[in-house]
Amino acid sequence: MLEAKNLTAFYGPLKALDSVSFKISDHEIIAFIGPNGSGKSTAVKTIFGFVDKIDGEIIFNDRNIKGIPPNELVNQGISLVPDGKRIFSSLTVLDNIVLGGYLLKKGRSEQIDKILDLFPQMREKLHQRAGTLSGGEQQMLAIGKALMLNPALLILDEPSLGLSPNYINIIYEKIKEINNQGTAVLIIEQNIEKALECAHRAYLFRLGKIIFEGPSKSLLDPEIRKSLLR
Amino acid sequence: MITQATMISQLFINSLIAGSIYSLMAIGFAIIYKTVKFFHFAHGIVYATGAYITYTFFQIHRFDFISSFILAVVSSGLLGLLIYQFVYRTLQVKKAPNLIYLLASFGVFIFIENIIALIYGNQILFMRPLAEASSYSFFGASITLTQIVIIVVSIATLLALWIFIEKTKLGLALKAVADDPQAAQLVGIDSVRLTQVAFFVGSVLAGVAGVLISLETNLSPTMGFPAIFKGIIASIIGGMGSIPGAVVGGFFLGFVENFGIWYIPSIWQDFISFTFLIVFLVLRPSGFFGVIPEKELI
Ligand SMILES: Nc1ncnc2c1ncn2[C@@H]1O[C@H](COP(=O)(O)OP(=O)(O)OP(=O)(O)O)[C@@H](O)[C@H]1O
Ligand SMILES: [Mg+2]
Repeated sequence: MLEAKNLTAFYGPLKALDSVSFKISDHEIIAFIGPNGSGKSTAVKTIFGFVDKIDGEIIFNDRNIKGIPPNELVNQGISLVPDGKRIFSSLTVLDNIVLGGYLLKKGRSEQIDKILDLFPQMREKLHQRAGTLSGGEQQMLAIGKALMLNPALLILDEPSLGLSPNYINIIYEKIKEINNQGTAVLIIEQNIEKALECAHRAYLFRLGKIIFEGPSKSLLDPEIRKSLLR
Repeated sequence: MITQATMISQLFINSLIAGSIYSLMAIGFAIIYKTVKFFHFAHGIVYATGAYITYTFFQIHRFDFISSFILAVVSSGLLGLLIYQFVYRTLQVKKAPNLIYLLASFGVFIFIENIIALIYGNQILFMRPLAEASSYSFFGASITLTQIVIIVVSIATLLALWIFIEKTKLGLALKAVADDPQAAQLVGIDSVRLTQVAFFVGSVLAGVAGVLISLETNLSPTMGFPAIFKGIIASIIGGMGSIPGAVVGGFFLGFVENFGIWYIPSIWQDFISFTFLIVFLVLRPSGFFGVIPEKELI
């Protein structure tokens, strides 16, 4: 479904991604792991054109999507929940969800219902300002907002960042549920165990390069990861 | 003989008129600030341009007033849009630091002010499309048709804007871009297009203010400067970037300036506004509408 070939990306003069190739198939869950600053976030920012210069190819459903502006890319079936602040914090929860479906021509209310069935906690908070939600609720809202367009691929950059273990479990339950409904998911994680447990395949990043790819299980042993990163 | 009651109603009318104009200026400025996060100082010259274009069509080309008004307001919107497209957008593409936008904005202001002076001269111009109409009595004070028009049109414009922002999809998209342009793009909103909308709508409001004020006062090329200052002060008093705040700040300013001259001579009006600006900046930088002040105001 998505294939990146020899992707290189720059922030100004800094080469943050050095000829990486990866592939995501329909219905897959993929994990990107690796140390801080190794280029995981940059790899997905490159897909959306949020870097200064890109070399290489990005193919999505047989189309070259390199250089397509983010607001058009989401319409083709890729949604991104970036790291850090992921919601419109000054707007209400409902406005956030409605905005998630900004491009929907019809069936908006059915879609909103579907999202609220996935995250029922949000139902009582629809008219609350999103910035006043807890970190875990904000992450749920961010994911719900990203699902409004029914993406074929959902990309989550550090979905467990700053969340309590309880919320991390809930979020990962939801990720599996979303995947079961047919959406491919790409997870970037510091919480390596959690991500590897959930994903089918994983890519290990180091210094802007991918140094290992394979079934997630093969990376579960910390000793193996240590030796790879040496 | 002027009774105290008459005086109060007269000051009330004057406050409403000043407040309407300040609010219009402050809201336009706030919508643009909220979206781009820099001070669009040249907003003041869009206001002056609105007044001069009305004058051109109404007084020189003898169009009827309504048509002149519409032409002026639309032109003001387009002028704001052009300033964004050719000046700020270029700077955005080059990732210019915030201070550069402020400097560029001053540059645009002075450039257009000089063009106005070149075309129309430095002398004062005036038009009084509604002058012949009689005045009405309002609790002992007199109010002219012109003044009624200024107040009614301002309030109608504020209402139309409220409907646009709160009740339309485009208004919601505008709020999304103001909150987080990148997140807005990620739900499919074209942030650049919406910034253009913000500049157009904000500049239309400045145009309306410019036209309305030219019904009562004289036109001069330098008229934009005090107007944008009052708009900015109103906007800060109301809460930087807050739209309801801009309305409250505008009327607050109109009322304190006008009722202030009860106690001190009227040449001190600007002194009153600046005093309130400083009081707010020191004691309540988030303004009436307690939004958290931006770390970097400019
Ligand atoms: N906006 C930016 N401008 C300049 N350099 C950047 C920018 N974003 C990231 N970098 C640099 O690019 C490199 C890769 O960063 P990236 O954010 O992709 O790492 P990461 O693997 O996601 O790390 P983390 O786990 O900390 O999120 C780092 O050296 C980082 O300093
Ligand atoms: Mg990252």
